[in-house]
Amino acid sequence: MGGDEARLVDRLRLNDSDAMAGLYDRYGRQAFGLAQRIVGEAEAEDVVQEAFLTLWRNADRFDSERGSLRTFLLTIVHRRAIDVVRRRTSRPEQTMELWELLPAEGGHAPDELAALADDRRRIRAALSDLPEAQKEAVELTYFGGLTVAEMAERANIPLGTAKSRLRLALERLRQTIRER
Amino acid sequence: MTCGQIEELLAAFALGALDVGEEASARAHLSICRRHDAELAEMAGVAATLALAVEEREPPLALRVRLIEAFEAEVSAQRRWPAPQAAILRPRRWFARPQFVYLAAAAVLVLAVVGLATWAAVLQLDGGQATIEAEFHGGGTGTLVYRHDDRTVELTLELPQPPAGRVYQAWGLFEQGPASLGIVPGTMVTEFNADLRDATAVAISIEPEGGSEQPTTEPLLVAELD
Repeated sequence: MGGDEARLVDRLRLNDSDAMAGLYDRYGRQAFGLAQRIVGEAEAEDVVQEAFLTLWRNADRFDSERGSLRTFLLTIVHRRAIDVVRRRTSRPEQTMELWELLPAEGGHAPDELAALADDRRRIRAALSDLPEAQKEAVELTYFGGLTVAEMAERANIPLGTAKSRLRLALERLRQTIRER
Repeated sequence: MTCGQIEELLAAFALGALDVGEEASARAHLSICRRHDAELAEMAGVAATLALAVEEREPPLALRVRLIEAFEAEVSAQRRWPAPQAAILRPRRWFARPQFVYLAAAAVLVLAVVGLATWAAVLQLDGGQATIEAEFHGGGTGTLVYRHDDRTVELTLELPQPPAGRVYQAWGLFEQGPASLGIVPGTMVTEFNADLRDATAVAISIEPEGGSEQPTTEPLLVAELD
């Protein structure tokens, strides 16, 4: 994490609204792009606003060893957006945040790969290199908000196949990003 | 859920693609089994890169204004309310934090107030009954009466209005983790009796409206029962 980002987090913890504005100016477009992709134009604003506020409320729990502020924020945006998608179909929402379960130490910091893939072209190329079925599996779940069981039904495949498809997709993405 | 089942689900978990029940089961397993940490971090790392593939979009100008207004409104509400900030905690860590210093203990009946700085508490022992009277520095008082013979607790609180959208919630702490004793309205005196024969402590926290299934903020007050 860069020094100025660390200072931004420190100021955010002190409830500095200029820090919130700075954070928004830095990552608002990326957050809005992701939210809009998942929930559409109309609800993206609410998702983004709630994500920034959630990040601030949890600023004390942010640990730069486990990822950058951007990853932290985009993970929240994704979770909030998926909740909106599931609410539309009266499916129960997720209640937990993924970062809660990321290890404090050991393993690779989640942001390591994000740093490698910090190039839209690179991650898109890795996605487009996936076999069609795996690409669709990622699209339907990560961007479409389907659960793995719903994805299996949609793709008319057994649940076990759907699970392994997602696993293979992530493993292949990881490998491709590291190689590129 | 077994380790083998978890391994099958890790990718879906990292992508947020489990239903609520599966996710809760996976979460329960992952919170106690550290052997999946490294792989989960890897999977989560890949999932995080997917967000970077999306084209940036310019949000409407009004969103920036709305966000800052909402932020300042919440900050302002917090200043009126000297509560600890909201933080989602893992239940198993709820009382394992070093700042919880046990203040009081008695030979027969141990009733310890784990006092955060916001509380000044006085312990009184009277036969089979112990009473904690606590004064909240931001205004308000609380009394917790613990009857040793039947292990029941009577809680009387007079607390300031919680921030908008938040409520007080009382918890019994059991070996399996916290169990809600109910929502405690802050603006009125509330008394309730709860069967706490197997409980190790009673706690109060601030939770979102409607209450939480598990505590999501630092406790305001914890009374340990023994």
